[in-house]
Amino acid sequence: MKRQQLSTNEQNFVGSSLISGRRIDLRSLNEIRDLSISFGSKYGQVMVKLGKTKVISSIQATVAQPFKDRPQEGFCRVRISLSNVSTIDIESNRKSQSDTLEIQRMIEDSYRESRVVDLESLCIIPDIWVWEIVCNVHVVDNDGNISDAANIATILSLSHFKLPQVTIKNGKAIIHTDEEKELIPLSIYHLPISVSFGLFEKGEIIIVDPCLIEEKTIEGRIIMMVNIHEEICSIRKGGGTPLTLDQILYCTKLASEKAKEISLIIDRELEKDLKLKTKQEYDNRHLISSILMKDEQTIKSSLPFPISNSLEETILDKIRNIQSLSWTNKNSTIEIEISELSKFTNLSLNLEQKKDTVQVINQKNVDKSGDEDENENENDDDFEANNNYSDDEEDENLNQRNEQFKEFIEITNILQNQNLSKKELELLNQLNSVSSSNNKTNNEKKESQEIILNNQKKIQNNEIEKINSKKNLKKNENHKPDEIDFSIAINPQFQTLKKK
Amino acid sequence: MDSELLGTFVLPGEKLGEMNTNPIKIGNGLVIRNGSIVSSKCGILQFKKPDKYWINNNQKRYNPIVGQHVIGFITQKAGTNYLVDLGTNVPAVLSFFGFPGATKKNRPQLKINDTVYARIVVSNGTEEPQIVCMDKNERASGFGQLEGGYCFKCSLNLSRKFLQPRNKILSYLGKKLKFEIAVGVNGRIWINSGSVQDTILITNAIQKTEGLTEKPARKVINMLFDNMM
Repeated sequence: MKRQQLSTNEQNFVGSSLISGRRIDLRSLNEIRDLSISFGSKYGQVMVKLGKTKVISSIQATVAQPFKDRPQEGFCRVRISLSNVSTIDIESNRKSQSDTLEIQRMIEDSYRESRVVDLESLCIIPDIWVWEIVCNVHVVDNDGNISDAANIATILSLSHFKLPQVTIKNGKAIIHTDEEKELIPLSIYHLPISVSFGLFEKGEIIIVDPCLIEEKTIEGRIIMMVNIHEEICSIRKGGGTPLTLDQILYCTKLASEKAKEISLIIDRELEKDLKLKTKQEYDNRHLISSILMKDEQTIKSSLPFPISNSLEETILDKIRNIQSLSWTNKNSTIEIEISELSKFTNLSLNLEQKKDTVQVINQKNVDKSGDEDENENENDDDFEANNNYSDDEEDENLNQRNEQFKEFIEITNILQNQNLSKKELELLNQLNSVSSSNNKTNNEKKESQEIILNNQKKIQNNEIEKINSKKNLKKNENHKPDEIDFSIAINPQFQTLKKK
Repeated sequence: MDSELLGTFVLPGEKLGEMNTNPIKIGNGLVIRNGSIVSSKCGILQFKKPDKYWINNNQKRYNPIVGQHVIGFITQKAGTNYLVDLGTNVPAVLSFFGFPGATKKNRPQLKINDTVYARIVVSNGTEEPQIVCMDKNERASGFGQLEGGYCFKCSLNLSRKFLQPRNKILSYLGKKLKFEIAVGVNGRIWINSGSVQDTILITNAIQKTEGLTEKPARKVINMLFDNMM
């Protein structure tokens, strides 16, 4: 049996502190906890943190049959789930699950009646097929006020989500993937925001956004959902101390103020996230946010505890791999996916020495958008003029690029002998096909490649020994790179042509 | 045992050494697997002469160990026992005879939802842990019911730091305020002082200076004082 009530110490203390006008975490009576929002890798995935309460939501869109009396309306539903993960001390019973049911119904009903989502736009073929959108909300950490956090999460995931396009031909509906046609966002009219109040001392003391301990000592609760346009979407009061009219009006005023604050934060975060338009940028968002350290020297000084040398190696290599990544521009023809960064090879050390040789290969004009610093002072006319190379220069560039590209392929061929995943093999085959279109026949190539391979292996081994002796690395004998996942990226910044 | 890894940060699953003929005492976070010593927790490897090794880690979940002092909340009365919640997976048992001077007719007068400062007497993996509100010599000496005040949760590392003899944060706070404090190794701290304002200050000061050194901790505490006054 886990304890379901607070101890008498806590209850008495919280009560007496509220009477004297103070809250435990040094907030004022009308203050909300810090809100922080982060988006997931797919459209519609959101994580919301209100102080210590954490809530995750995601959206499922499926095709379903509509109701017969409403043949042109889709469905928009919400499901909230608490689990034992979120509340350890105070047990999650049927009683607390009935709390989540209450919140779930409140959100669903208020969204439907105040028409947040345009349900008729979710219709595919009237009376037959209709989109059903379900928002699943999971409470990861419960520190009070789940209703507010869940509401913010559902709004954000609904306004962040994008539906695939549907075309109708001959009575059949075809759902297009996001590669064929762009995704469309849902049509949302307004964003209702819920503000929950805690009542104490027969309604004379009103708190905003109670935390878990305060929720257990409060005598009653009232939840209001208000718009940024000061329109009340719903009010819910389930039991507890009675309130007078004046107190309710006071609550509505407070709620509209808080709703404006929260909606500003929501709009700001949505704008930031939806500015990332290209799909690659969107998928690689998390990699950008994980790069904090740029210099190798700052790792040791930034950590408060000492690290062994092997751990330091692993961290440094991961950082080097991330730093060498970039995202190709639209004009480039080769795009390589980024595989797991958790593993690294000794070959990565050699690649860094050869960074200058790896280039973006454009079959059209050279793309100079990577060198932004150089182009800042130039006008647009000069920029265009620089892009037009003369014929002589083009030939020289092509030759040099081909030679460097060969070296690039040699490295990849080395790795073909080792265990690679299917995706990486496909990509390497693409590379080889591109190279074959340029010059020699396949036989000549293979011979040259074999020779170069053998030479290169020797060079690599020598170089590895040199590097290791210089740095005095201590290797764990147990560490053996059995599987090698190779992460390459082509950096448009490295366009310095090698002069031989 | 690798002497290079002493004092460094260690991840779970790292091999730290092999079984030799030298006898070693293995403590928190170290496990023997296939004849070699492997770490099972994140933390810093520590060593104390002559032969003790353990990992200093931080966690919030408490596993009861005999002899430690804990704070518990009473959840049930069952026969001649109280069932006390320590934050573990199973509630502990506190019998009516676990108080100084207790007999069949002289029973303790504790109620449900009271807080209690106690000492662990029995804890295996098989039985429920048992606690007792008195000394080895059957005297009170600080154990028993904690009346008034406020009790909050924290990580195990914080509570261990506040049990050290010369804690600088406590001494700094003690120069400015008067208060009473009881620290349980199961991650709970109880504070009582004259006014409500002071207890709120102290709880926030303790929670926000976790992991800070002396000077930044003092800055944080001074900021809290200025905001309250």
